[in-house]
Amino acid sequence: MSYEFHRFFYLLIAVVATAAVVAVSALILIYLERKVAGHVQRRPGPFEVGPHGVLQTVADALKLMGKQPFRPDGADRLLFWLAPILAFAPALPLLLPIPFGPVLTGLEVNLGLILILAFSGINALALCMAGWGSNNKWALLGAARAVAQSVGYEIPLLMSVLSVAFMTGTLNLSKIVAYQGPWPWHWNIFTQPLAFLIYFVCAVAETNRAPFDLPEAESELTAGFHTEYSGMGFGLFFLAEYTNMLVVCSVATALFLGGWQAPFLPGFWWFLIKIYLLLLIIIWFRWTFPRLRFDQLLNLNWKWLLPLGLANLMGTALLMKIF
Amino acid sequence: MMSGWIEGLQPLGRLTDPYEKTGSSCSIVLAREDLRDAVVGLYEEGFFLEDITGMDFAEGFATVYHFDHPQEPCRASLYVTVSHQMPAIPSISDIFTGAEWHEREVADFFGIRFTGHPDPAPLLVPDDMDSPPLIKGEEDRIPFEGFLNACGGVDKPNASQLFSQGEPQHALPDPGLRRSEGEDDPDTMVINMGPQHPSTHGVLRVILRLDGEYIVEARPVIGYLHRMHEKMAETRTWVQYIPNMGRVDYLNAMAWNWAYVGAVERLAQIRAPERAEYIRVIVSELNRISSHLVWWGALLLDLGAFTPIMYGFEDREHILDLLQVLTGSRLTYSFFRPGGVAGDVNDDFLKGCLKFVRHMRERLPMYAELVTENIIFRRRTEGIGLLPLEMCRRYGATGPVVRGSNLAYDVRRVEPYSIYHRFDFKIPVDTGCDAMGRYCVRMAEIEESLKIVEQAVEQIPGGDHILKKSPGPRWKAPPGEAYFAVEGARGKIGVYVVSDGGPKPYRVKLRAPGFSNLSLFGELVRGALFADAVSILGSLDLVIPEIDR
Repeated sequence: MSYEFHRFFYLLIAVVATAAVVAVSALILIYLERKVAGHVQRRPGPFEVGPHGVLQTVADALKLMGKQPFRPDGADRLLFWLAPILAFAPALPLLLPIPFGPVLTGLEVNLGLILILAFSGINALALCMAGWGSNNKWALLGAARAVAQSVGYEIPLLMSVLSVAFMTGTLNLSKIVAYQGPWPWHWNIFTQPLAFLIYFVCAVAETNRAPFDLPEAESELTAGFHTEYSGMGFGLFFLAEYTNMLVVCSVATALFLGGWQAPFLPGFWWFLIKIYLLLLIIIWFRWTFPRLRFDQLLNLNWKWLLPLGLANLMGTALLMKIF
Repeated sequence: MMSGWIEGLQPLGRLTDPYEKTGSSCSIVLAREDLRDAVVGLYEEGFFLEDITGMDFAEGFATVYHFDHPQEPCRASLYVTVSHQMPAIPSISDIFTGAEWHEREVADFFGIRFTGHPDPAPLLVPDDMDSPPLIKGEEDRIPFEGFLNACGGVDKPNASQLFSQGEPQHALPDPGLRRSEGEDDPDTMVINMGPQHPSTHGVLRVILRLDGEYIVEARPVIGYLHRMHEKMAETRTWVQYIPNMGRVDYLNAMAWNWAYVGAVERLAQIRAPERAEYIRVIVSELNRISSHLVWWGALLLDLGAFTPIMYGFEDREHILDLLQVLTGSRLTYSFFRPGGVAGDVNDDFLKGCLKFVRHMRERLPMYAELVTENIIFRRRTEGIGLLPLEMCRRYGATGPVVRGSNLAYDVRRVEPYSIYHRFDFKIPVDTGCDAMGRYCVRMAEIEESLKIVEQAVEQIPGGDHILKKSPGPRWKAPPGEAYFAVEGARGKIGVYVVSDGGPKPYRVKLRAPGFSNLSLFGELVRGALFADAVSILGSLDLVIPEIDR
């Protein structure tokens, strides 16, 4: 067997494995979200399907798949159907360069970070297409919000990521993880706390999660960009949201929390634990906070996060030059 | 007693029955030409418009305007009469803006036209309604003179010559939808919020014209839940109508029960036993708390916080459990009777009330900590929906809406009914005039209501819960009129009843606080952000069935 074939075979397995991770973690996350919501609200959450309702998500997924794909009159056929696919499709390349363990990396590339940032930008386009293609005013408003929000929050996000890249001198996620040590004071969050804060706020906003869920603000825009979607069209948006959450938390773990590096347990488990801790925080946000208003959301970005991110980046660059 | 407005007027007659009998301090019959002068006088003296309604008499229609003053109880009732053939009255909507909706309602129900009205389109009834629903058959009408005599008679003899007036001087307006400025502006987008929308709390529809996310114009469209409760009153006996009151406002049924039963009692001049009055106070205050808890959760839901409504409902559950045992229903109570209440309370209920008071006092600090002090929540409500006091008065806003604009107007204090003067409680006001102000007022009201419940439970005397000879289903009320107002969770609830001495009401008018509070929404949100419209709508605390009736 040639080396190329080996590489190809390895990538194939990695893609299949990533798809499995996406599907399984979406099931777990949705269950987790509903259980956490339930307990935050002093009720048990799903309880009927399977022990403690663990099969509830499976039942819901089956229901969504069984529904007729439906397109409203006057909607743009191509854009309407392309949008959910485009929202979900980038999930696979997004997870490929992430080091799940010391040797568990789908695609070892030295521009892994750039790859992730590039592909995550497609999401905004998908939401925009969904909003425009639905021929619905609520969807259109949601799409307009989605674009303004994504474009705005990508910049400080990029800056916080860049300051870590400046420090480690690489864009390869595996190398960034290897740069950090096993104990918390070896992690980048220790040297870059501000960057982590900015990254996390932007990540919540990028994934359109509460309190930044303005593109789908239920009480204002009924359902925002996915007002007209039902069945698997809606299901794919839903899946994309949870996959994006997984991605941003994975990247945060790799960049700031030492990735798989930690004592005692094998690296893979540590990576999962750290990801799920971050995910739990995001879920916790959603069931605790009211929603921001649109102008407040943009003000937060342009007046606070962007200048802070810029200052942090400059400071990092300066310190790296001196020492 | 404010009476400066009446000087210089030439009323055709003045009804002599005292306040205790009719609920009106000053009732005058006016010629159509004098109406606007009188209303200007009332406006200048600080009155606000309660409601406008009509009545169908043998000689013609009588339109009744009720005004009240926020400082002292001096309800002014103006009767303006028009003939059946050419019913037209000058509109007062340029003086009291809130009259716009009330006049449209009267136009819907009686076919009376208001000259100079800016938007004479149907409000509650469908556009293709063929005949006004409250017009009576020839044989059912009573003479206006008979009505006046039943109300103590008038002090001048010429009141009966009212209907022989000539043609209206003003040209009749063309009914049709108002066209607004810039309607065809291509930069704006018209969007329908409702009747099915998550934050309109029922079937309210608001036509919004947006410029980006900014609201250029907002027009509430109501009537989707209109059930013509006022017509139903004319087909039932006095006591049979009580269950309707539980269904006007499903969150605050007790206050509506009380308003109607209070009006009937005032009409018949009967008094409920002491114990009944205490029971009424307890259940009404509990109901006020449960209504505020639902509003609290719903407002936060509108702002995107999902969890508070679950907490609110959890506490409300205790109240519903208590009232369920007492009244047999959890939401649509028909508990009050003329002369008392339907059931007596026992010690378990009273103990349960005290237990709930203790429980709720423990919970309120948590509410404040989790929600009131949340920075996002504050940013979404502070300075949003600024409602000046003058605007409240123009629209006749009452309840927490006007108290949030720094006016301590509460019917329980200004026009004390029942035994409210015996309790020690404050009327919370807020100087904010914004959504946050209205929020703080309601949260403080929960505490005040707890205080009242506690005092009432401690003081409750023994005795009967209802008069031995209370009115039964075939009871005939004495002829006359009566207005009775109570402080509901959403504001001033007024019920105006007219009797011709028969077993059924001749006319029942329901004054819903939400009706006036919603009518100012269009002006309030102009220029606001779309997301603010949602928080303003939530801060007004609307219950659509009450508005549509």
